[in-house]
Amino acid sequence: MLKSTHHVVNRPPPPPPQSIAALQEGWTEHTAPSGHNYYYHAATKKSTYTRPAQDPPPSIPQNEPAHWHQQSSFPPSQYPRAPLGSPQAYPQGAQHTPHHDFPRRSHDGRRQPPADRPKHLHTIPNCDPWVLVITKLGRRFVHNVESGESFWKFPPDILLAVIKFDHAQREGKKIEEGPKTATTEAGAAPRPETEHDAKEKENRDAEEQSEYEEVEVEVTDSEDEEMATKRLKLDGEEQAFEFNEDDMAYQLEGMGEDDFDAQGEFDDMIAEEDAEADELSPEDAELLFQDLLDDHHVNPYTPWESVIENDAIIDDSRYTVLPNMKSRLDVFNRWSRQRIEALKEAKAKQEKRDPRIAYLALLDKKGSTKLYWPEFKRKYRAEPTMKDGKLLDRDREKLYREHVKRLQQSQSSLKADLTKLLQSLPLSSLNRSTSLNALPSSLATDIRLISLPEKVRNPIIESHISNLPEAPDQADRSESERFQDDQKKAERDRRERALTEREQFAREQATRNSKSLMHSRRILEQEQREVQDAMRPGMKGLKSQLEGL
Amino acid sequence: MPPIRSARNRKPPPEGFEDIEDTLLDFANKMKDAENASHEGKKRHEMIWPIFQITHQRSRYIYDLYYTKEAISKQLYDWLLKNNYADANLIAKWKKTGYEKLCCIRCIQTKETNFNSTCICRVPHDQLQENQSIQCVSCGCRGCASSD
Repeated sequence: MLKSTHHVVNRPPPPPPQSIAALQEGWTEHTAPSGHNYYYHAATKKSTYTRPAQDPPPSIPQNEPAHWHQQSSFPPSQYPRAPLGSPQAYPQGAQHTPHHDFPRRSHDGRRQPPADRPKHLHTIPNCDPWVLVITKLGRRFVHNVESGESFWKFPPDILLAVIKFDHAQREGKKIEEGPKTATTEAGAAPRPETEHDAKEKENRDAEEQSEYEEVEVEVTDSEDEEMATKRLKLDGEEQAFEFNEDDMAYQLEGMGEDDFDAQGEFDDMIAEEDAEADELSPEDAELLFQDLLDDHHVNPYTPWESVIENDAIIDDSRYTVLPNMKSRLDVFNRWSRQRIEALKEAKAKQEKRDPRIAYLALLDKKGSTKLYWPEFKRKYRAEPTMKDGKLLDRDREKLYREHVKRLQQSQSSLKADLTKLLQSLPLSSLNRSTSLNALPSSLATDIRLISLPEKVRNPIIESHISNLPEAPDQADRSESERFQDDQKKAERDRRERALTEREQFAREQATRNSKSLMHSRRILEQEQREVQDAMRPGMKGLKSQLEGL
Repeated sequence: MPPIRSARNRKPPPEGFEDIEDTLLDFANKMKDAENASHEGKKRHEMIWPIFQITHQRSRYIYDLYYTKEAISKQLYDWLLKNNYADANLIAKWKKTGYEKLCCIRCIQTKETNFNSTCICRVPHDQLQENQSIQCVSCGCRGCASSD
């Protein structure tokens, strides 16, 4: 019932070549208001869209191949030599199954089948005239460019080349897929290419055989198909339809598998992350945190509260290597203790900066016989050395008086005093490497040094220093120190590398999480869309849905 | 008659004071700010909480420097106590078992309370009710029992 109404209403006009055949007796051709041609038999008062041609049976098989050849941009020619091959040049209706045999609309405008046609063309290496063609539906055949031959089943010599080619391609894909998993997953719209990918991924282990077997199965199907050449068109549509439904499920399956793969990788990542975390041992974490404190030049004398007020420290990634505040405080206490000890040692090693040195420098510049001590004190009271608590006022006054007294002596006696002083100094404090800017404190604190003006005394000191020998055992110490410095630096580099690796892993994990979230969300959306599509009745009401089943 | 000590003849602080001088100045500034802070919108007893807190912090700082980090000399430590940079009585309590985290001396003065007991902040958290948050009246302490 349905079929007949549909037949009358929707059958479009027959293709132009048919019109060549003459009309049967009594039929006339008319044009409907919709633009379709129809035929009317005046005697029987019958009207029909089908052309009542005189010889209808042969017209269909003649028409169909021509139709297909028009559609296919890359028409594989007949292949006569193939043992299982069909005379049919192109793979329509490869998967014909008997239960779909009921008549269908062939030229329904609403559901035009996506015809299978060549999509990709690959040259097979070492197999020159032959090319591998992948159709839109993901099936593959080989085509000889020179002779124009095409085979669904690969001839044995070509088969080997194709297997090699596949291997090469898979390797390439693996490399490519590494960074681009996101894009391929994101683009997993229901398209044949991705389906093909999914297939490939699924069959990765047993691929070589199964894929070529698959081709064979297809070929046998199409061979069966040969028997029923009448239903070519129907099968073409049916096959496309089957793709729509089965492959959707197949794809979903594949995506699910992809998902599992991703999950597996994700687990691996977590395991690696754990391993990485194990690698960054507590000692390393502590050392990293100490590096952080060193780098920010934290004063070891400051309390912990003021250390963590500094945002720069908290924003540093090394701040997070320790799990909690208590451990950080512990590490800080240990670190500051060590640092203070080191500072104390350094201070003990360093010669004490005598407060008298700065004061004597002031006397050297400003002291004169024209000023009494109270006048001098008043005039230069703003100078920092005059306010220094380390040096008592009593001592300042004493030094000033002595200096002024010596300024009144004769130059020659002052020079003699200076040379005597220089000669009295030991070789360890005064030697050839001593510079005028950093004189030893025993010399700089002596009042005899500044009695002569700078212009006179500097040449004397320089000549004295140039006559002195080198200081004993300087080189050994510096070398061992340098070695220690190198070691420290290497250790630190290693720790920082570990930290960056750890951070990178964390970042990768985050992106992976977001990716898997996106993926699952997309699947959910797709499912929702499907459910919505199923729920919404089409233009034709329930009928269209029933037919869709 | 004690000698008049001016800036000129005052004895300089012991060795190592310059290392901690900046931090002590920070504390002094904070204390000044706390003293001059407005009392608007504060309860009567809340006003002195910051004073107690800063005193506690500064005392703890000096205590840590001397006893745990061993960063300052005995002379400097004594000098700091003598010059009231740290509360010697509070530090004396910290050395006793059970008083390691004591917030202030007032919180253990049993004679000043109605029921002759210590302050609420001396009660360990596990003996308080679930989710009970406290802040003691004398210094705003939220709990200073050693077991916390």
